[in-house]
Parts: sequence; C-alpha cells; structure tokens
Amino acid sequence: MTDLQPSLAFSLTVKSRPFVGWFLLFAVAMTLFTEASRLALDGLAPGFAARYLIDGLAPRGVFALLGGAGLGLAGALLQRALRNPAADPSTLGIGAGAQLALSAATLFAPALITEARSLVAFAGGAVALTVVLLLSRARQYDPVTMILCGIVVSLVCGALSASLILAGGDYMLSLYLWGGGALAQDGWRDAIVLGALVSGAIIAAFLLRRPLALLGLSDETARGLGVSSGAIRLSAIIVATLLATTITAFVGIIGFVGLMAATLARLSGARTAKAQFLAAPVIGAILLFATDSLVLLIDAVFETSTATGAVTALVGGPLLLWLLPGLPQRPAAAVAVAFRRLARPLACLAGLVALIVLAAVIALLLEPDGAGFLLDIQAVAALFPLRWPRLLAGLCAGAMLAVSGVILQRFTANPIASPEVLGISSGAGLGLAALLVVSPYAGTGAELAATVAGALTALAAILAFARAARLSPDRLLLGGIAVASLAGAGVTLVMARGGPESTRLLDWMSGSTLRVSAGLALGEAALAITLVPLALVAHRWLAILALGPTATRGLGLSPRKAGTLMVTLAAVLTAAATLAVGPLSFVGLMAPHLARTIGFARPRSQIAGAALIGALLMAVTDTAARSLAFPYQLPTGLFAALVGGPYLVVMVLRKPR
Amino acid sequence: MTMPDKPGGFESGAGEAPLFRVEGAGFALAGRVILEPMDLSLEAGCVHGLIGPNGSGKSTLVKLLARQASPHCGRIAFAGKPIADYGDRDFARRLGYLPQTPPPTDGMTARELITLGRYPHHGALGRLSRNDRSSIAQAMAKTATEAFADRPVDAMSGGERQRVWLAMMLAQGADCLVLDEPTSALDVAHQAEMLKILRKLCDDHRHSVVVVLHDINMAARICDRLIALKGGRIVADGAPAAIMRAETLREIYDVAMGVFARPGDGAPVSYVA
Repeated sequence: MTDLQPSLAFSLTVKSRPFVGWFLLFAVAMTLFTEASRLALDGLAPGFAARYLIDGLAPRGVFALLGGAGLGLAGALLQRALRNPAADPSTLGIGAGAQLALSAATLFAPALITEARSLVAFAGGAVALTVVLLLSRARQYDPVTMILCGIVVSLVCGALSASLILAGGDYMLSLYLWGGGALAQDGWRDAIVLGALVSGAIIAAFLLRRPLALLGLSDETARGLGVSSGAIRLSAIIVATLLATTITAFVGIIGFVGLMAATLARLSGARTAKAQFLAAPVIGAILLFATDSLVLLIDAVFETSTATGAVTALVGGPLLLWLLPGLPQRPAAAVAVAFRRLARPLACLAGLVALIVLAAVIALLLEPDGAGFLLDIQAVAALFPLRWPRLLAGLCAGAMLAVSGVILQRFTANPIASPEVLGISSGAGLGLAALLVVSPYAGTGAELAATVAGALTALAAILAFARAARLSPDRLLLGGIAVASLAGAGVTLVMARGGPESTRLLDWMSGSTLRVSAGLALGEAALAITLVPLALVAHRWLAILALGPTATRGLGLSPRKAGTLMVTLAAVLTAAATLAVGPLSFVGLMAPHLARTIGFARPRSQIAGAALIGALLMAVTDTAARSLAFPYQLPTGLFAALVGGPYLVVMVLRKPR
Repeated sequence: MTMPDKPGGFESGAGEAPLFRVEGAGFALAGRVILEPMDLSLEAGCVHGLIGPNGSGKSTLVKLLARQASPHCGRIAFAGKPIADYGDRDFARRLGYLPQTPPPTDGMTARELITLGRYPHHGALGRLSRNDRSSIAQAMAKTATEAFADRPVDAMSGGERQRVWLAMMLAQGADCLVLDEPTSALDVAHQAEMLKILRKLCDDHRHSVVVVLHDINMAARICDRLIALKGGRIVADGAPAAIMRAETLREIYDVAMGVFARPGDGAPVSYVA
C-alpha cells in the first residue's frame, strides 16, 4: 500500500537514436507548414499572396523556431540554476509578470509600450520571479514549493491583468487574446531582434556551462571548487528572464515550451550542462515550430484563429503532471507553528455575525458612490431589489469558498491549498466553457450543473492521478495547478473563438456580481445552507485526515472513503460559489487562514469561523468594488484577488524559518 | 518455508485463539519479494519483539499485522477471526498501531490528539461520553502525559511526542498494541522509559504488544519472545535467552557477536565482537 511504496525514481530513459526522431518531427512540421501556407495563400490575389508569404508566413515560421529555441534555452538555464526540474518561465511566474507589466503599461503609459516594450516586459517578469524566489526561500528553495509559489504568483498576475483589461473596456479584449500567445507576424523586425537575442543567450549559456554544472551538486561543493554561486546563478536567471520576457513582449505567453524542451532534452540523453544547452534550444525550436504549423493548418482549414500559446499549455499541463512524482523533495523541516487559541470561540463567532450584519446594512444603505448614506427610505427601497441579490450571493459564495478552503487545507495539511490553487475553480470554468460552446444561452441551472460537473471532473482527474502516482499532499497541490493550467488553456481557446460565450466567460472569470439575478442569489443561499452544515458535521474526519492515511486507517477511518467524500464536498462548494463570484477571488485561501490566525484552532470552530469571515470578506469587497470606481463597477472576484494576492505573499513570507 | 520450532514455555490460554495466526502470508512489491510467505503465531498478553537487520521485513510484517497493508498471499487471523473481516472501527477498537514516524499533527494539542483516539468508539457524529472522557484520562495517566496536555504536539521533544501517540493508542481502548520502532528517534533515557511503559502495560493491564526494535539488548530485556527476521524470512524465534547466543546473533546480523552476563542479574548482553 501507499506507505510501502518507495518513491518512484525519476528514471531517464536514454533513447538510442533520439536525433532521428527529432529530425523526423522537424520534417513533419516543415511539411505541415508548407501545406498550411499553400492553403492560406490559396485564393489570394497573386501580388498579395507573395507579400503575405514573405512578410507574414515566412517570418512567422522563423519566429516560431527562434522563440522555441529561446524558451528551450530559458527552461534549461532556469532548471540548472535553480536545481528544479520543473522550472520554466511559465511555472515561475515570469510570463505572467511580463504580461501584467505590459497590460498596465498599455493602459497607463502607452508611450512606454511603443518605446521600450521589451524593457517593460523584462521588469515585470523579473519582479514576478523575485517574488517567487523570496517566497520559496522560506522553504529552502524546495522545488515543489517554488513551482507552487510561481503558479500562485501567475494566478495573481493573471487576475490583475484581467482586471486591467476589463477596466480598459472592450478594445482591451484583443489584448487578452494576445495574452494567449498568437504568433502572427507582420514583418521581419521581431524575428531579427529575437534572433540576435537568442544567439547572444546561447553564447552566454555556453560560457556559464561549467560553473552551472558545479551548481548542480550543491552550493557548498561549488563554493569549495571556487565558483561564486550567487553571481553565476544570477547571470543564468537574468539571461533566461530576458529571453522569456522578450518573447512575451512580442507574442504573449507561450506556456511550458521551455519545460517541455528541457525535459525532452534530458530524456533524449543530454546529461551534461553543455549538452542540455545545445539540445534544449533545438528541441524547443522544433516543438514550437511543429505546434505553430499545426495551428496554422487548423486555422487555414477551419478558418479560425487559435492562440498557439494556449495549445502548448494544453500539452504542457499533462507534462507537468507526469514530471511530478519524480521531483526531488527537500526534506521539509517539521514546521512547529504555534497557533493562537481562542479561549471562547463562540463569543468570537458572535462578534463576526455582528460584523456581517453591519456590513450588510452598510451595503444596502450606502450611497452609490460610497460618499455617504442614503437617508430617505424611498431611495433605499428603490435600490434594494438591485442590491440584495448580489449581497446575498456574495455572502453565500464567500462562506462556501471559505469552507471549501478549510477542507482542502486540512486534507492536504498545507496552508496554501485552496480551491483556486487546486484547479477546482478552473475545472468549473472549463465545464462552463463547454456548456456555453454547445448552448450559449443556457439558464442558471444548467450553468450550475456544468460548473459542478467541471469541478468534479477536474478533481476526479487529479485525485486519480495522485493515487496512481502516490502523491504527497504537496504534490497533489502541484498536480491541481497543472490541471488548472490545462483547464485555463481550454477556457482561453473557447474565449478566443469570440461570440457571446466569450463575453460570458470573461464575465465569469472576472467574478462580476453585477448580473446576479434574484434566482441565482436564492440558489446560492439554498446551497450554502445545505452544504456548510454538512462540513460542520464532518469536522472529526477533517481532524483525523490531517494526520495522514496511516494514522487515519489506524483510527478505523478509511482514508479513501472519507477523503473522497470530503474532497467531493469541497468541489461542489467551490463550483457553486464560483458561479457567483468567479474563480479567482482567493477567499478560499484567505478566510481559512485568517480564521486560524485569529485562533479558531479546531476543525469545527475553524469551519464556522472561516465561513463567517469568507462571507464578511465578500460583502465588504463587493461593496467596495461597486463604490470605489463609481459609476464603473470593478468585478468583485478580481477585486478580492487584489487583496488576496498580497495577503498570500505576506503569509508565505511570514512562515517560520 | 519451514516454521522454526515454536519454543515451549509460552502460556497459551487454554482453548483461546492466539492473538495473531499468520498462515503463509507474504508480501511483494513491484515483483520484489519483501516478505516470504511465512507461518507465525503470536500469543495474547505477551510482549513480542521483532528484530533483524535493516530491510529484513520487520516493518512490513507489522504493517500486515496492523492491516496497514494486505498480504499478497496467505491469511492472517486476529483473535481467531480473519483480519479482513473486521470493520474499520471495530478493528481500531482492538488494535492500535504506531507508525515508525508519527505524522505532523497540524497544530493539535496533546489532549486533542489523544481525544481522536476515541473516534473508533463515538464515530463521526457521536458525542464524547463520560466513558470516553475516563478512557482519555486513564490513557494520559498511564503514559504520564497530563503535564503537557495542552501543548501543541509538533512543539514537543521526541520522547514526549512518542508518549502522546502511545496515549492516543491507549485511548482507542485497544488491547493489542503494534509499534514500529517506537524508540528509534529517542535518546537512551527516553528509550528505556518508553519500553518500561510498554512492559508495564503488558504486566499490569494485560495488553499484548508487538514491537519492532533495533536495540537487541533493550529488546532482550523487555520482550517475552523475540522473532528475528532476515531477508524476509524468520531466522530465529524464541525466548530472549534462546536468541541471545553468539551463534544465533551471528546468523541474524552476519557479524561476529559475543554475549556476556550482565553483572548483577546475569541477563544476557550482546556486543559486536
């Protein structure tokens, strides 16, 4: 059984003739590209066709090759420098950071974008990576923790970007689609710049290869051999970041190509640093070129417009899952966290209820612009039908997300587990996207069914995988993130189709409570009233499950049965809540943690406390989101993420060293 | 696999089923045999010590006994009934298992952890009865854990933490305790203390104990019977006096060893020659 299985060793199968395989793939990609070009040029006026070929298709092909090479090299450099076989510009938040900086600059400083686009992207990516590294320092740069922090930072940056896009209005939607990584080119300028950069980076990597090989052992050994580990590591990271952010500046995020290229280089037998720095760019180039050629062909045949970056993420998510069991895990020091304990939790719960009532009254009575209170009863009565549904929906969704978060945090014994991080919300989004493709105007009931189905499918997938690969809770979390990026790529692909479903999806992603109907609000309330008490009833299971499967079995509780039930409950809670407030509120992360910090130590009081805190958080953020930028309405879910992101950063940084 | 002759002198309650009867049970992992199919009978009311070199299958054997893993062949009966036929909570009321490394406890206090030991009795929904409370109090008294009842388990020293986990097993009300190297992370004083508690539980409260131990001399002092494993087979089985002989120890550990009588009581003490 689980405990008896030694961790699966990360075996590197050295294939006998990998070069032949890669060359064949390149030949196939070339054929695809030629065929797609022929189809795309078919029927165009002769003069225009020639121009399109020379200034559109040809640079696109070259750009795909160069971009793939750059990302592959970036992946190999990061993996070497950070000693993390899952490092990649997209798993470390670099791409998302660059994208956020670009979105912000587009909105607030358009001049900067035209003048120094790459510089803006580099600054954003570097800041994001710095945050990730600072966060993972608390756990001695443990690879799993690092990727976890990287993806959480990506989520936060993504939420911020989406907020900016929504604040910028409809024309920014194209910016969002660009974020999916469309490789279309309109000349040779970008390709030439990138070509120069990639050549320079390859030379730099070549110079760094020996010291980086020594860093692979340990910092002490490297220092003992006279290598300045800090400077070498920093140089490698800067080169990689420069490559990744420049590519993001040109074409948006192309997820996971670096990860794939560096991993496949290792699997093809590139063992030494030198071999990897040569093989990873070549493999990356072939991979991205092949993917883009395929996308080009599909677009030519079906006359669609597909983002290549979303397609690479579709492949990269599963790859990350596959890599998971083999990631080395630094033995985590037993973290003795002394949580405060409330002497009288009931009194504190009552206080929270009072605060919620106060927040609700304020939400109903506040002037629309938040400058004062409505004084006459008629104005209150006039606004009441508009206000109570979103207030009620927010309260219930907040409570449900919080309870879901408590369950997941207890179950995985990990304080940064949450429905957002575990991919359950994204799974719900994919369910919704699938429904909207089939029937764009389905009602609330169908939407709820679809999100629940999506959330459960994502969860079932990740749990089945976790069981097959015998994942520890930490890795379960990372698996959830891989599922999240997979589902996110699916949603992006649906969104890129345009049409009514893309608007509805963007609406859902941003967590806008603006369109919450009375029916949806009542539905949310009914679900919350049914599901939250269920979690309260199961509080003992949560306490026992936190001890791990062996102790759980020892106490006569089947870890599989109890675990499945609890996690299913968490999935349904999440799906129901995201329908009202979107996938990215981070309330499921914050509320359980706040409850624990306040001193609700035992599962039962933590569930109750977190539910109330979640409801309170949502009520307050909803009121703030609708008043702060009046007459514009900020989407509540994203607004909450703006609070949740920094909270997460502070929380992880405060972890005991 | 022939079963070594069962040494005489063990009081097997007349007509009473043995604590464990292992019949041809073995365990393999990914095609590699960890535990050869073996026959073994353990008696109630005794302290059984499992000894042997690293990788000999001791831990696997106790995991099979504690139902943490299922044997790939053969059968195991516990108190006369096939081990698989017990309900989850029913089994937990009869047998407590302490894994080699107890898991982190998520900020729980000692009292909260020990209280979880009553889960097999009250289940998910039942209230904590007076009976439950008195079992918890007794468990804490037997292990002398009252003094740090309200401290978080994760912040305790190894010896204290191990006693708290033992208290949780006792709160389960189980007569049979199965422990996997409960002393491996403790200093000598705490090792002796832990083993003294186990011995006392057996002598005063008729608990049956199956314990994996590394220190052969400690094992010889507190166990009624020693079972030595090597390469997944039982290579020696008998009273400590019968095992603590130079040639037997040499066969178990593949190292030349000697035995002398301890000054005072003459108990056998081994050393690497």
